[in-house]
Amino acid sequence: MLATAVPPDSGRLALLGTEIQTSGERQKVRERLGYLPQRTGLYGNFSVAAFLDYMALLKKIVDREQRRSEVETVLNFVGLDADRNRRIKALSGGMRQRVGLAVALLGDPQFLVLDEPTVALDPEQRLRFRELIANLGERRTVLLSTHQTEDVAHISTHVLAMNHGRIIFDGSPSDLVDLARGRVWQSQSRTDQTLASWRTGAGYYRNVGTPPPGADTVEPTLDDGYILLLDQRPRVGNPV
Amino acid sequence: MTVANARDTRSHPRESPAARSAILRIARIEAIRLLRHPVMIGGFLTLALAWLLPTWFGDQAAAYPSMHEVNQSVQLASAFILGGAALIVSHLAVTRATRHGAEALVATLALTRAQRIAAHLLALVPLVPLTGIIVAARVMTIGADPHAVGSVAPHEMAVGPFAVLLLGAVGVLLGSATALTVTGPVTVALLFFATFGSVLFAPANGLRIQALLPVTYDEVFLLPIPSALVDRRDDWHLLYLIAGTALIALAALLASGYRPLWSKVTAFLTAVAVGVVAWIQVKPPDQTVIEARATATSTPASQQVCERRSEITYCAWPEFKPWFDSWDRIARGALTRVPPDVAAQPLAVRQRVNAANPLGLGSGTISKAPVDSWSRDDELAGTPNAVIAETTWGRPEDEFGLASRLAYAVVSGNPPPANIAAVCGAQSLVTLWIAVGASESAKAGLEELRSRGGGGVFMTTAGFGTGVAFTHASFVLLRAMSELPENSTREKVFASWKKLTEPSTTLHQAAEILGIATARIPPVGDSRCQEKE
Repeated sequence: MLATAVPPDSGRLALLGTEIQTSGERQKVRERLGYLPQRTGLYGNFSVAAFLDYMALLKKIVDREQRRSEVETVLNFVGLDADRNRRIKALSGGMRQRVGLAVALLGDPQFLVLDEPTVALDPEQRLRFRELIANLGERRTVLLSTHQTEDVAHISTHVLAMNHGRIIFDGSPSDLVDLARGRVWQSQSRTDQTLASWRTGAGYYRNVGTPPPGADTVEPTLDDGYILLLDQRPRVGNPV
Repeated sequence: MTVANARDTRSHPRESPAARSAILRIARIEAIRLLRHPVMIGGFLTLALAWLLPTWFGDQAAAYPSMHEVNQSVQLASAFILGGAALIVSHLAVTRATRHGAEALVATLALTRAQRIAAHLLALVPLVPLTGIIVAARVMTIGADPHAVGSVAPHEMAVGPFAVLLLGAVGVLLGSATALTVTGPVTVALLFFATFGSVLFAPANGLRIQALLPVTYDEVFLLPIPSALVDRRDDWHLLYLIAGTALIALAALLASGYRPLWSKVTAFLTAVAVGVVAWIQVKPPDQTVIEARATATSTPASQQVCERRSEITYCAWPEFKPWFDSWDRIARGALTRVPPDVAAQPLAVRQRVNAANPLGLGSGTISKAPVDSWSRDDELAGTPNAVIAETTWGRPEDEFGLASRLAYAVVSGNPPPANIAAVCGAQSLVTLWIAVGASESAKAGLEELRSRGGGGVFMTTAGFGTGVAFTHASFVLLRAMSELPENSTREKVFASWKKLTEPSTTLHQAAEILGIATARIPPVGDSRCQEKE
């Protein structure tokens, strides 16, 4: 809905200061919006440059010089300038993901929606992608939809957590981590009455919940905060 | 989140100049991709091969074309091959985003689905001039032949190109319904069967239901009929194609979610126009056309022009007059093997065709020749017992056909038979010898007919059941006869002409007269000739 792919079925939605109830309003916003879907379908028979040129036209970038410049810019940004003439079907998964990001970046959008951009990427590609996204966030709003809390920790300045379509947290990543501060501890055996408890590689149990007296509390992570958020009991921090 | 079918009909923003410009540029890209697609290139190559191969292999019929027939076949081939390719490729292009899982991405870009559909429809437009150039080049090249008969109007040449456009638009519309890759090929296959099936299942002289299909044709006859007798409706079919394309394009836009009032009203009015033009097209032929065809079949003299060349009079429908030279060449060639006093007798060659019997339900494919009507018509026209010339010409078997009918008339003195007449005994041998003497091509024509017909040869003529049949034994003797010196054989034939052309003279007697060993005569093999032998 935020990517304007489907109209809202109820309620009101505003993006970039514009109400987007009608198709005309959505069309207007799309010209300032970049979207990277979770599963980026690309046209395998197109070369990278031809595909970006085609997508630029679909973004109404009609001036030839401007289009060429836009394509150059995004190719450079995602590091695919050397692969511009390769067929998309010949690219690796990570490179394809970068092509998808390049499409989202065409037209220098003010608002970027990236849906699970690092899924299925190997660690090296993921690191590279995180850097790209972090750079993007310096000049525009980037909405990163992800279950990868590590990505959030490394990239985001602001976190919105949603559960069943409702925002349940609105704050910084450190605020989310702070939610779990003093509520994560280690034990030699599984403890009852925890929200979550799992055995670590070091042979002890990591527990999230309300620690028993004298528990050996440890530094929390975003994962811990997220687990606590999903708990229905009253929260600390600044949940919405 | 599913976005592939997300449509919104609540408001329709006016096209901005940027959107129009983007649509045109995407149309240009899609047009180039369409023309470079392997299926389309395969279509062009197939068409080129279909047209060039017969020429390369020396199809002499191509040298004597009937232009309205040529136009029909050119339109059919171009519309089917290029139109079929356009349908398949345009369907693939319009469903590209769905097939590649990119609909979620494309749906959030600035250009709407309807605008993208419009671009795909516009991408088909270059196919019209391109196909038009190909069709016109083909028709004009064939028409440049000095022996070409008939004519083709420019709008008749436009039918094929617009059929290609319509089929391409069908591909775009189908893309709204399904993205399955097989959709295009299956649709083309169904159209193919429907088009050619309608030849058999459309009622003869009745409603022309085949005209409802995008790729269509005039009524089909066993042999080409004169252009004046063709119920040509290409102008209406062209209108039908244009209105049909507009309707399909509007349907594709409506299906994409673009539904302003004007598009609905225009679609309705276009549908009405398509219906009206369809009705005009499918009406049975006018009574005047049917009557003219009946006249052409039974008493054609009143429709024909004649030209006397010394003792031979040639008559044909006016457009076929350029063929007189070729007929005369064959007739003169055959008459060199006839005694001069016999060859000096008046002779007539008249073109005939079965124009009353189009293929279709309720029609016999071959009907009995109306020889009595012909006889009366010939008497009145001063061309008694006219030898039949057909409305096709150019192949070796055409030359042998005319030469053998002429030889039959000279040798037997009979008019064309109502059915297949078996030529027996010495008459059979002399008739064949005269016929193959007409030209080298006529000789080759006999060999071709024999290779297809096994032992004997019989031919139907002009789309009727009339014709002559020869026995295997006469072919064997003809071969032996051809091994003898030409001059001495000619002298023997001329000297014994009366005896050799008597119906009672057997093959054995002919062999003795000509000095051929009778041991070489095989059994006759035709019950109609057994008693005489």
